[in-house]
Amino acid sequence: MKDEYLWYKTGEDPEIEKLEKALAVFRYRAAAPIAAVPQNDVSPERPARFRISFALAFASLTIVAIVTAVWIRISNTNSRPENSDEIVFVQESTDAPDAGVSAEPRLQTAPNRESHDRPAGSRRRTITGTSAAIRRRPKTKDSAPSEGIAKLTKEEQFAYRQLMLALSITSSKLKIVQDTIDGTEVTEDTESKNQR
Amino acid sequence: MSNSEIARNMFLFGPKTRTNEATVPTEAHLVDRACAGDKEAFGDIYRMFAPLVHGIVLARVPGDDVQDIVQDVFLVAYNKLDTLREKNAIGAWLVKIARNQAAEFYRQSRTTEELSDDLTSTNNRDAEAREILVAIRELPETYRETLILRLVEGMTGNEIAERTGLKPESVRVNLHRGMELLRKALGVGGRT
Repeated sequence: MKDEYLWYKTGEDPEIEKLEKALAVFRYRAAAPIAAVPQNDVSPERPARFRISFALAFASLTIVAIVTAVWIRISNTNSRPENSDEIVFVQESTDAPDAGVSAEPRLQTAPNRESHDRPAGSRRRTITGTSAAIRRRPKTKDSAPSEGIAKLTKEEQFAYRQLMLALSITSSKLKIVQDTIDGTEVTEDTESKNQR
Repeated sequence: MSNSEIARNMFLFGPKTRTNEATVPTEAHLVDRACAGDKEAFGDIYRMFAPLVHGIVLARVPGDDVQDIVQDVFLVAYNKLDTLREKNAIGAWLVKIARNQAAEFYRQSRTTEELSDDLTSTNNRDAEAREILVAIRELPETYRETLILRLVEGMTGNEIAERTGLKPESVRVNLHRGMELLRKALGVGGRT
C-alpha cells in the first residue's frame, strides 16, 4: 500500500502525504517560463547589428571625406589663374654666363616648377640676400625662362629699390626686437650695417 | 501554500503530464525544433523539465538561489543545445547541467551560508518544512534527488525514471531506501 502511493501516487499514505504537504512550499512554481531565452536571443544579435551599423557609418564618412578632399583639390586647381606668377628672389651670381646682363636687379617671372609640392595657388617668396634680383618667369613649363626676361624700367627699378630699403629697415627692426627678447644688445655697427 | 495551490500544482505536474504523454511531441522532436530556432519548442522543453531541474538544484543549493540557478541551467542548455547528441536523453543532460551549475554556485560563493532554521523560519510550518528538507539534503545524493523529485516536485516514480533517464527499478529502490533513511532521520513512523 505504501509503495503503491510512493510510486504511483495512488491510494493513501498519511505519512507521505504529510511530508508532501509540508514540502510543497519548496515546489517549483512556473513563473516566467523561459525568462532567460529572450536575453539569449537578443544579446548575440545586438553586437552584430551594432558592428554592421558602425562599419557602414564609418565607411560612409570615409567616402564622404575622400570625395570632399578630392573635390576641394580639383576646384582649387581649376580656380587658379593660368597666368599667375610667382616672385622669386634669387641671389645674383657674379660669374653668371649671361654676363651681358647688368648687375642691376631684374624681375623675372618664374615658372611654377614646384606647384605640385605646395598648395595650389600659393605664392612662394624666397629671399636669399639683399642684392637679390627679382626675376619674373612665365608660369607655363613650355615657355623657356629666357623668353620672360625683360629689363626693368627706371620707375620699376626705383620702386624695387624702395621696396628693398623698406624690407631692410623692417628686417633690422625685427632683429632689434629679437635681440631685445633674447637679451643681447645691438651694436651700432650692426645697426649701421642694417641701415645700409 | 493553500490546498488549492497544492491541488493546482499536483494537476500541473502530476496527472496532467501523464495523460498528455500520448499527445505531446517527443523529446527528440522538441529538441530538433528548438535547435532549428523554435522558441515555442524550447518553451515546451522548459515546462516539461523545469520541475526536474528545480528538484535537482533544490537538493544541493539554498532555497533562495534555486530559481536563479534553474534559469542558468536552461540558459546553458539553450546555448549548448546543438551539442546534445542523444535527443531523447535531454532529461539526463539537463540533470548533469543542473549538478554542474549547483557545484559552480558553491565554487563562486564559498562564504555564503544559509541562515539557521531558527532565524529564517517565520512560523512552525515553515520550520517543519525546512527541517524535513535539511534531513533530505543530508541523505546520500541518489536518495536525496529522488526523494525531492517525489516529495517536493510531486513526480511519480515513472516520471522520475523517464525524466532522469534512470531505470524504473533503480528509482523504485532509491525511493524505498530513501524513505527509510528519511524516517530514521526524522524519527517518525515505525515502518522499516
